[in-house]
Amino acid sequence: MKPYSIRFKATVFYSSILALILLVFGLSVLGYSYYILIKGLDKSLNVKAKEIAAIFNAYGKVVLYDSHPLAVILNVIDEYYFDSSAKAALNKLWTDQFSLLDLDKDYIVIVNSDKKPVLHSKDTPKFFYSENLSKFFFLDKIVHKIFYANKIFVRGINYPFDYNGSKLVVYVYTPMRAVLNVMMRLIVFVFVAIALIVVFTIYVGGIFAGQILRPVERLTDLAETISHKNLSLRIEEEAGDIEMQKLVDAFNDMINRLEKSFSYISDFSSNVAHELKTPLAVIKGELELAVENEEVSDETKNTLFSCLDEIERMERIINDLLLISKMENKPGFFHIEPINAKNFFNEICENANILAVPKKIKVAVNEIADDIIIYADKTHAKRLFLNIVANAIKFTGENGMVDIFFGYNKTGRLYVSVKDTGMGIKKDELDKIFKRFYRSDEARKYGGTGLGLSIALAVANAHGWKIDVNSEFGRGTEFVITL
Amino acid sequence: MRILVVEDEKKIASFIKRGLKEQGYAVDLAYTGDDGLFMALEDEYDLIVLDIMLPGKDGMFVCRQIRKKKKSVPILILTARDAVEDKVNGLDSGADDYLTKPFEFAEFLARVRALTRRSQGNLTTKLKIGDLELDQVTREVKRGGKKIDLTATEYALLEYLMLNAGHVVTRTMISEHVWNDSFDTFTNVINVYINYLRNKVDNGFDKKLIRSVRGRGYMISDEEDEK
Repeated sequence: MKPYSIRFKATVFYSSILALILLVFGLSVLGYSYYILIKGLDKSLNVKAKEIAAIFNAYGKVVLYDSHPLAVILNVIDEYYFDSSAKAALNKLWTDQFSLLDLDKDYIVIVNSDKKPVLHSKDTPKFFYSENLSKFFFLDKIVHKIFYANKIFVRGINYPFDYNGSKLVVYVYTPMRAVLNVMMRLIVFVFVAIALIVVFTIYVGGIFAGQILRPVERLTDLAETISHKNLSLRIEEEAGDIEMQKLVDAFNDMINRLEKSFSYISDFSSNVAHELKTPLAVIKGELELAVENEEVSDETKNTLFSCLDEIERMERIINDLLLISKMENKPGFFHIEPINAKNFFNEICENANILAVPKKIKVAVNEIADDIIIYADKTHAKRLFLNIVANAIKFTGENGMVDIFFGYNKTGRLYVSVKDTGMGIKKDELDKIFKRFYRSDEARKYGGTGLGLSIALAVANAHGWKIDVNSEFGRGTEFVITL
Repeated sequence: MRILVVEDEKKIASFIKRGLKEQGYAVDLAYTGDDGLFMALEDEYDLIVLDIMLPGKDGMFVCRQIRKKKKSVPILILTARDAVEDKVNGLDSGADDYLTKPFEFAEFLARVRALTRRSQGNLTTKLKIGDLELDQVTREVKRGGKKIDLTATEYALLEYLMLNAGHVVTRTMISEHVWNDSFDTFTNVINVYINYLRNKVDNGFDKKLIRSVRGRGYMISDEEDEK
């Protein structure tokens, strides 16, 4: 499954819940509104039907000639009983009664006890008194029903009543346009409101979730930058959620513990080195005194000299180890300052020339511009470059060649290439040469502590420099230090 | 010349004492800070060698106490700690020089010589070995009255050798004092420079002043006998 952010999940999750709740609520409101409206409609239909039944009972025998639609209802019934004045009076009565009932838009149908429509109002569509509707004709109960005819919804009532001892049923059909209009508006309103609320909560919720999760982001940022070099970093405490504060506290505590362990380790190694130095001092001092002693035979002296050599080697190893440990663990160990590149590298090249003399190695150096400033810890940077240059000379045979080249790479960074015609490094050893104490079988013959390149790398790392090695075994090696 | 050595590490104290005695110094030992302070204040010494890590009162404290009593005796501090701030603290507490363990005994002796020389006020600006003369002010070097041209590094190397005339100077000492840096590869650089110096100073003279001391380093001396 594709992982999503908590922020996204939380937002989607509670927005969906909110949308669901709003939907249920909206539908309930709609349903209830509809129920209320229909009930009102039915009530008015009831009243209308009842009135029509009453009117029918009162004036059933009257035949009317008039334009009023209701007048036509009765036009089937004998018309010749009435004279014109009575007709006019009745007509008025009808009209008044019917306009009171607001039947203008309604259709009225009257069905006899055989379920046969006998009367209908003018303009009533045939559908409402057709035979297929007989299912809906009930002689014994009041029934409400919705019909769909002539592309409109209509609410109808089946209202039976007694007329001169026989059963008749009056049907009043009223269009539901008003109800549906209200419902349509309600539906639109409810859904638009839900949509707006959901969009709003997604937006606000997103911001809110982001706010809540901000300590997590800061935690992540810090966690990404943290290493043994900057264990003093902490996440700032900020008034916020209890859980987040707990997380921040826990994280800070963790770094605390790490820092303690690291400083313990670094203290430990410096303590070890310190403790080793005292016995070394004793051995060295005693050996030096013994060598001076004139009673000691030459043979013994040779032994003592070789012991002294080894003691000094051991001392160098301990010092180098301490140095690396400090470079890697001690903040503020390096004092970076602007230095003139030409002066700095001239000194390195001068030393290279001197080192090259005994082996008759030719050292080629290209010119470096006068005004280049590099930012470096002079002492340690010198160590780095001298180490690389000295290595080049060390591993190059007599009459060989070491080429020191200053140039700019594609991104405009200054680089120093130190290329020799020495014995080269085997492919599988290339990535190991910077490891502490690693010396290839060939390099072993030349002595050294095996820490030189480790120190060089530590120095380069501290300066943000890069060391690249290209080598062809038996042909030569090139170290490129990109500043 | 009387030297007080305050050092709790008995073995180190012992070889320092023997080594200094061989050079003709009178040596008193103290193993704790309290004893050391007492002795330093009671007796007159030409130099006090003081370890920093001592049982009881530590070296810094002893050093400060001695300076409080207005004793201007030179103090050389010994310690196994080599952090810059440790050095600064040591020198701030009133010490004159500072040496990190494990040290080369020749280096130790050179510092002792420098400190006692300083305290006796016989700071001469002209160094002389046989017919070789070096003027520290004009930076002029002459042998048999004839001027010798030296580069800055060659001059610094010769000056250091002459300041320790008659005593062995190791390669480590040279790299630390002349190049201000201790670095493996300097051993080779030093050899080359010694050769340059020999060419300029000893070439054409019967008496070779610059000598190699097997397994130790170099020495400048006009004494004939080989050690």
